[in-house]
Amino acid sequence: MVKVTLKSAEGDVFEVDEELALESLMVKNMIEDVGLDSAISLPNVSSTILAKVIEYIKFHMDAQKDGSKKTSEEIKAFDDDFVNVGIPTLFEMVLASNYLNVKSLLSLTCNTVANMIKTKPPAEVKEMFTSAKQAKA
Amino acid sequence: MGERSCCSRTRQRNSRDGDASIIDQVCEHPLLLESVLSIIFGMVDSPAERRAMSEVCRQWHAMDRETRKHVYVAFVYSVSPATLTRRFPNLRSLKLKAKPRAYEFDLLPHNWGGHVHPWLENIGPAYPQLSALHLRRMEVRDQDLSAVATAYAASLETLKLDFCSGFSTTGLRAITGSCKCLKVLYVENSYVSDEGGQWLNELALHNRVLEVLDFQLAIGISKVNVEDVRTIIEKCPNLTSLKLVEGEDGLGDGLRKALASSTSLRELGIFLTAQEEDDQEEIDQGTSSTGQQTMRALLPRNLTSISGDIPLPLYTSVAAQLLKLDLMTTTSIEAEQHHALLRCCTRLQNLQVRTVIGDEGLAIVGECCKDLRKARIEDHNDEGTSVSHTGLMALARGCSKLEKLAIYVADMSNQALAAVGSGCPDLRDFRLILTEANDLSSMTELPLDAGFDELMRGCHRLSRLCIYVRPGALSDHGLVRIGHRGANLKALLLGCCGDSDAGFLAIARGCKRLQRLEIRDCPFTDDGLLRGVGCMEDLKLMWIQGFRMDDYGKLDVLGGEKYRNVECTRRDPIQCLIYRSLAGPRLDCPEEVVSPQGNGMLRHNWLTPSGGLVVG
Repeated sequence: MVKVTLKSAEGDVFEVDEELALESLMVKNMIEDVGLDSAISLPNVSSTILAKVIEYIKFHMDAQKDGSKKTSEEIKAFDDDFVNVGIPTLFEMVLASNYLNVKSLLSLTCNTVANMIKTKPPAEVKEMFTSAKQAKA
Repeated sequence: MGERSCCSRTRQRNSRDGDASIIDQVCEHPLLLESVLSIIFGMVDSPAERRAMSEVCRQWHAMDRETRKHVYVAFVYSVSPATLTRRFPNLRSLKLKAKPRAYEFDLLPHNWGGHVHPWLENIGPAYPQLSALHLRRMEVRDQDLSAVATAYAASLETLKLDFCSGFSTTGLRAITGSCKCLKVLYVENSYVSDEGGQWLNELALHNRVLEVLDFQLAIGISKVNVEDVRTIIEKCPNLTSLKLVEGEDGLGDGLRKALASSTSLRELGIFLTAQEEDDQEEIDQGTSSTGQQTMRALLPRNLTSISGDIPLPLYTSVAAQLLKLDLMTTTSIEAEQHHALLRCCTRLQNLQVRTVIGDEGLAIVGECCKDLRKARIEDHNDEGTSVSHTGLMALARGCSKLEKLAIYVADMSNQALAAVGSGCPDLRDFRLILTEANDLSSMTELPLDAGFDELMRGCHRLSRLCIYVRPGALSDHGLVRIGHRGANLKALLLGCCGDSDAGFLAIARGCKRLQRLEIRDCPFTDDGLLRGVGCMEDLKLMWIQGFRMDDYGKLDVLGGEKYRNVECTRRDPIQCLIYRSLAGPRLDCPEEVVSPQGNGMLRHNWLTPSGGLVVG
């Protein structure tokens, strides 16, 4: 199995199967452009978030494989648990999945944000974004 | 005090309009990349949620503007068409509603207004891609329909004309002749002049994508060529709903065969009397076991909804698979037959029926229709039948999933209302109408204050409530209880409810989210109304019939406020419409309707101190 090396913002190195890496359209394009010889640098994604993105893709790839015994309830439970994180982390995952262009994760995280926003008055939404920004800074 | 609170409201609104600071601050979090934001906005459809999001910051306001696909204007005079098209330039779907609900009860002057053409002049050029147009309680002319047909020939998929008037089948023909991708044509409860069946023929000739064709309750359409209907069924593979007006010549063999072999039809509205002789023959056979097979074969296989009027064996043949049953217009089945039928409808979710079923019928529904979500039990005065608290109690105890219930009763008790409160926790919409079948003196229990208190306590999701009773059936105390528990109410109709302004003020102060209020046979004074309106910050529209005036009419004070219009209709009893509007006073009031901002002050020119009308 061919491996791809991904390098996070902090410089940490993640070695993953090519098949997994190709789930990110952004990484896929990079590989097509520069090949597999050198590590692919992802300066916009922290190690914590990159690890989470890899975990997400791996789970869903396994779940889709023939012989997978995962039920749709189990998959949903994984997704629910996956986005059950603090707002700053959630926002970082939105940004990372947008940057890496992982459609299903982008859709999952955006949907989570949309559901949060829907139930809040405008002032609280604003507050939510402001505090997330401060947490990041 | 009331006037003072009104004024401070005005100041608030003005200062908010002038102070753009809320909207000017731009959220700078990088999450707000346009591409991400548009995905998030795409996941929110509800107009209320959209509106809240648009108030977060200027960027979000702009994103809502760009991405909003559907708007529902609940009262067309609340905003101008130009404002709408400026605010939302990319709409694909628009619903407009004009006349107040009183129109449905024939209470408005015939030339009241609510014309669609000022809207079409704007939306025609502004939304070249419009795919859905839903008009409710509006005046629509044939040339308006022609304009729609021309503007949206390539895009229009849905046209609903709901309680509209002023057009003919010639206008419909313009639509069906031009709009080749029409999927939904709905013409219910509208007055239509019948100028021939060409409109239907156009559908039969050219349309292959029709999904819904409903004109069962179109008043005036009578010339329907059943061969056209047959062609439509055969040529439109996605036709799921077909509701036909009662025809003069029956259905005919061809149409009946087409119906019987349709696999797509889920909803059917037909009038099929046993008069057609060969029908009779087959229906008679329905009593034998082989006859049941024949009977079953007369209706589409996958039917889940039926309305109109068909012989009992036909109903029975599909009863077990029905989700929706409308028996409002049946003439061919008796009370006992209703009962037998309802016993078989175990999957039913939506039932519309007349009081002919009686309390016994409601008990059967409670016992057998455990999945029922919506029910309407209507009284048709000429039948001499009624239902009461006994039936309501059985229904409420049996149907715990009820979300919407409208019931006309001859008698009522507090216990039955309490049973609704404890038995139907999901109820969102409740309408109780006390008919005049009995003397008030023979009522089981008055007033119904405690019952409504219990109902409101149990049904905490209730957002629409209609109580039309008779004097003495709901006192001020009852209104105080409703006000106390009514924080989630958005629409309220009070008919003959309460005794004095104190009751109304309790409603006004308690029901903080009330947007629409209708008061019939109003016992309150203009002074009380004025003070109440000052408390209801979310109130968008209020229609009042027959209020009392202690002094010179005062409601024109409200008309002096920015964004609020007042119109009174010179009728006995007097009608008054108060609504919020960004568009200013309307210019198309008929003579019978006066407004302080438009054609004259209310109090000086035609109202006497006693509230009577100045004659001449």
